[in-house]
Amino acid sequence: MERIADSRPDGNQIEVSVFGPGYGESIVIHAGNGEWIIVDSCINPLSGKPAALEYLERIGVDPASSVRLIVATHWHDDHIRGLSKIFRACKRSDFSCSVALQSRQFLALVEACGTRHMMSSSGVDEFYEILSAMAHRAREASSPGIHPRWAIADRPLWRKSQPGANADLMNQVHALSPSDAAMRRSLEELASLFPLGRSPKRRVMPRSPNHFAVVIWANIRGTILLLGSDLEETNDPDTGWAKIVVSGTRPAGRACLFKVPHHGSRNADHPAVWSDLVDSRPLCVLTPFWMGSAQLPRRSDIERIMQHTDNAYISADLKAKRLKRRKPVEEMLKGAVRSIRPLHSSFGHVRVRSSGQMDPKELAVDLFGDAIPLNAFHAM
Amino acid sequence: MLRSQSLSTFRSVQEAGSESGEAGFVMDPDDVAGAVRLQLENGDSSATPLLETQLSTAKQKGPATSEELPEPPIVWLRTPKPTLDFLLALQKWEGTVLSKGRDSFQARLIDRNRVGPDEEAEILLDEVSEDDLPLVTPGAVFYWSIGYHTGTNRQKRRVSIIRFRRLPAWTEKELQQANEQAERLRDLLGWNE
Repeated sequence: MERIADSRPDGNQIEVSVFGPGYGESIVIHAGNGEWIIVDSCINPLSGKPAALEYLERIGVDPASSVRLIVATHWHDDHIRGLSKIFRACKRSDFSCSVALQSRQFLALVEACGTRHMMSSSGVDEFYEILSAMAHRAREASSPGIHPRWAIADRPLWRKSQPGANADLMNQVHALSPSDAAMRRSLEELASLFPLGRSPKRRVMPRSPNHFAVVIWANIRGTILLLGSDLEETNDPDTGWAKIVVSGTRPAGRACLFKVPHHGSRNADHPAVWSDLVDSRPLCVLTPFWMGSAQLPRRSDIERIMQHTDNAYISADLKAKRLKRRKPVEEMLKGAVRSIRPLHSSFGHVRVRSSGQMDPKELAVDLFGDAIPLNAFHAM
Repeated sequence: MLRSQSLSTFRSVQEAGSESGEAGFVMDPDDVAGAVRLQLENGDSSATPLLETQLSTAKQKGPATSEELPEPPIVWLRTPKPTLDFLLALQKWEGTVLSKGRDSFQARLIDRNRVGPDEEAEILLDEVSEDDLPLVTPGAVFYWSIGYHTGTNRQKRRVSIIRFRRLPAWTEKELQQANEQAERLRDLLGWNE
């Protein structure tokens, strides 16, 4: 199993690796010819390292010279934990995030709240580290990554022609969101998150729905990937998936691989995505989410997704594991809590490889760690 | 009374402690003096013989008129060796409130010794002191220690202590500085162009 997991794709193979514990996700893409793209970051709870970096190092890929693009689809903790380490390691990579994060509102929030010394992190802390690394590069007159490709709907983020290939086989990465209206909502949210004078200091808690999320459309040598980030559906036709599906300027084609948005939740589902943006019976991959009483995907989510495909996988199961504790602690906990569980009790890796196939059924899927087929997931 | 005084001292020192919220050794000299007073008031057997000895020495000099009152005797009390009021923490977490319900709150917990994994718990509000209840809001940070508390009376008991971090409020100056730093960073990165 390990030997297979540690094998590097050959130059012509396209690979999409999705990592995820019960909280967080990270996607690593091999775009061919030894060029890599990283979308978001999560920590492997077993090693404490960013899953994407750990994987690249394990298969013998030098992140400094091989990673061409890093995308932070949004600034929430579960999508960017460890991203500053990735940014520092990938010295030649471009960086992309929502255009809303260019705003002085976001930078002021990061400056105010990113340096508080708490053990619990928030996405703001992580972005503080990323911006510190950018500032360091700017002072050293080293430009990679310090001028992000600001993501907004239907904007190309990265394009690379393949040697000897025609224009149709050019690698292209586009943002399908945020829309203009979503960007305005993002700025309003940032302004509301900035602390008021005399208000108590506390951890920054992002609001819902997520208007920052950058949905990625990647055409890698004709194999199309739709990476849904955490974009949710709202009642506003100018934001969310409703805006994407009616866009006349998004790239043409249907995705054969779909990273299902927002951990499969119902409020991230739009029927037109299944009918217009992805192949019939696409290969679906998702990551679970378990925070507080919120656990995703639910049983009804799984049933809904499985109506569209029987080819779906999830990076980890969410069976709570019991920690061994000292007896006095265990006894005190009995009277003090209703429930307690380890946050990252599982971690897995869904790896999809293609040698140019565009039929989802022909893509090679390998599951590592706690990754399982979606229909085997223990949902509430 | 001694027990409640001792615990309140313990709590007040905890709350006045550093922001790190360490629950460690605590001893208050006033508390020890209070213990001695109480021993006298309650006729504590370990203190009384000494006191009686000194008083009986004074009595042996015979009765005195109000003008001839002798110097009051210096009474030295042999007090028991002071016992530290301390908490032996078996488990320490830093927590962040995720949400608050009617009688409980959801929290993310990080093992402060970095031994165990991060955890999530639904904690009963009964565990939070009255003073800290208003602080239970999403994003609030707290420290939770479970262990053995040994009081000045040498009694040992299991305790669970949740103490919410009282960070100073934001000042207008801090917020203005954050805005200025943000502007400088945008200039440095060329994001204003």
